[in-house]
Amino acid sequence: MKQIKVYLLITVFLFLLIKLGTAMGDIRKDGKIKDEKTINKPKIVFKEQVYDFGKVYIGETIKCTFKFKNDGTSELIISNVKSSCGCTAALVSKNKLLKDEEGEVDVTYHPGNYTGRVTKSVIVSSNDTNNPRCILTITGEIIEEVIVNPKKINLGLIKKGSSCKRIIEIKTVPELDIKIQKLESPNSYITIIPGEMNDNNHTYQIILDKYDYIGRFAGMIFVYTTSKKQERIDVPFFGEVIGDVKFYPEILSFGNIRKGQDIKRTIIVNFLNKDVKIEKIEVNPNIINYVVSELQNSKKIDVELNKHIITGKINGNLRIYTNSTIQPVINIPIHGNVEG
Amino acid sequence: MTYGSPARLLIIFSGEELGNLEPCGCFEGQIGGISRRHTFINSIMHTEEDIVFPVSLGDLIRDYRRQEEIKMEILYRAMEETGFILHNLGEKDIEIGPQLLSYLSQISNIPFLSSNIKITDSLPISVNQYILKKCFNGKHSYTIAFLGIISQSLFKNYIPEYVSIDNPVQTLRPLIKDLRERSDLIVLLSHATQEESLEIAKSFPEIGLIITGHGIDDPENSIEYVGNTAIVSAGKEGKYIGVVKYFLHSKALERKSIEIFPLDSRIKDSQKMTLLLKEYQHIVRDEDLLSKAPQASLPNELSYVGNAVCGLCHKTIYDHWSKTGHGASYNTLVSTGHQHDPECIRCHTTGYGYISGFLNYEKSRSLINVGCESCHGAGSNHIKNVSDTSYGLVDENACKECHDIQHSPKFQFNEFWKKIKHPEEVITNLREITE
Repeated sequence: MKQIKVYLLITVFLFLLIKLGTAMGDIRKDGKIKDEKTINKPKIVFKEQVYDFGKVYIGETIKCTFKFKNDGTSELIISNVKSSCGCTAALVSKNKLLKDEEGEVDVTYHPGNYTGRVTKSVIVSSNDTNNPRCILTITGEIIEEVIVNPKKINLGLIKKGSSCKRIIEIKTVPELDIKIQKLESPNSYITIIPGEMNDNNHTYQIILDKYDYIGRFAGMIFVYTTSKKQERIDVPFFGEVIGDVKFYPEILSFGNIRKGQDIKRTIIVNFLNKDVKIEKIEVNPNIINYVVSELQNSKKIDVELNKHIITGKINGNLRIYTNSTIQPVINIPIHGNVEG
Repeated sequence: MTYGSPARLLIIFSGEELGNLEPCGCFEGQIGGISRRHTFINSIMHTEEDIVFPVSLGDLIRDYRRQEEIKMEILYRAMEETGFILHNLGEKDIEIGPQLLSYLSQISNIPFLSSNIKITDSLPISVNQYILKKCFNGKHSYTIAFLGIISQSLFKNYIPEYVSIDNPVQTLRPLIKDLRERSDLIVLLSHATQEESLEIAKSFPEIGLIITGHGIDDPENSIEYVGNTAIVSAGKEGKYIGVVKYFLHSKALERKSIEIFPLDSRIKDSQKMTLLLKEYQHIVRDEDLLSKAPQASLPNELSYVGNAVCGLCHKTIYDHWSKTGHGASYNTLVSTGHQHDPECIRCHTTGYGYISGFLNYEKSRSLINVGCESCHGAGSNHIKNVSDTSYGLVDENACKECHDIQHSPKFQFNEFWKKIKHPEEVITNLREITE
């Protein structure tokens, strides 16, 4: 307890000493304490701290300049200018400014493909003790010359053998005279049929047909336009063809493992058709072990590598045989590489 | 308090990784990554004085491609290794689909949290409306209630059919009324904009801490207070990590500090995470994601011909090019083990993502590296009609396709151009090609 008291006294003494030292620097030659105005201090003053660029089309670069002045009585030192993200660059005209001297911070913002309202900030750090970190803000909205709706197409759940249709709408800004040249998809199971058209509004039917593979699918529709800023717009689509059984993952990878390392991977099998059962499971090569356990409404298959496995690449598979007529065999490839 | 008993509670938060597993390595000074995050949290976890609850705000991934599914699995495993106690669902997590959500919910020990969404699917997906965690400092026991919401506004025009979203404020009202009696601290993981989270803070002063932010670039300067409620963010793309410290007093918890740390190069990479990242690259290779990317057609039935063909006429330029950074750009990926990653390959090869462009090393070896046609365009028409002088003109914007602010922030055209400027040449064997 005594020790604590001594420490406390020393702390209070040191604190007072520091305060006294600070105050001494602020004492005039005549012994009176300087007032706030006469203490030599730098003072950073920005004319504006917010720049609203309004509405700008996608792909354009936004540039602005924030002017500032040293309104204090001693040298202002800009120690750092930091932007909030990689898309914004900021450059200060000079790092040291004498009393009444003016400087500029040039800010460049590259929105890339971003659209919508945006606010970015730049932090200017200086030796102005009253305002050591000034935050400069640029704000506005990035708009598109060509608006595709929806921006991604969910084709949903589709029963094996069925087809599915969605509508995509493309609008252009009337005064820019932009044409939609074509829509195409590298995925052969997607058909695109033009629908209603007028100068600035186009619709297309997106049809999925003849897709027999059971499982998730994803692809792309490319929209080609005469817009210089949006020559090609990528519209992703996705969905899932369902059968009697769902499983994840579709490929099992052990990655790069060391010999003898204890590594387990798990497959979950869900039954959408309650009459469907697993009849047998086979693994290839037989150095792969598996254990099946019951979960609520699903089966869990833990797959492990035999510890005596030899080094080298593993290219095997796990086959699940079921009584389903549409998914009698589920094949899950197994990959990996065992290092010595 | 007995010696060695915990004196503090640390709530560590991260979020909005958006698929950023590690800094891409395109330039020095990049921050973030699961490897540094693991080291950072691990160094805190092993302090006996602290009870540590790492939590995840949501949006582990950016979209729903297969590569993002793999990333979500890897990020979940990284969180398990790091000791995360929960994952609040973001809209991008939900869009990945019920299949992966169901898988993770069945195999992982990190529970999903969301107070205001319901997922209705044929697959079992367990989502907790709230999660209570107890901590004990040797004398007293404290209960921390974690709630999570997602803003409907983040889904824009598309809400998946398997999800229903309730109004966050209406959902929170009865839950908070119940939990304020049963807990010593209420923490809300608010997957919403900061403005929306500020409104929630005004409505519910019982909440002690709101972890929020959707698209916040600068979390160090984004801490806000509404009364005694602190509203904090870990920013986006996994670049930062936040730590809120509480003193465990005998009667209550007292918030001591809020700090946001950039995950920069001062933090060493974790060996475990380095192995996990290696495994990720192996999976990407095993699944041959490179070949599965959609390919767009080129205008006017153009196709890529490859550098070797260009070099038949432009030998001096070809020789010079092969000594530049562009000529070795594929090898920079090979040296870091990223040569199978579609996200990297576009800017390290020629024509990736286009029909006849680079597909993978085995199928299109002649198109590795940033070749002639990366800048000048596909050359099939040029080699048929060499007198057409319109081919090959390039401006600064073509460079910026890859040298963008995210990957090449120091790019200055005049300076960078000097590094690749072709020498003058006299074409000698023009006939060979035109024939």
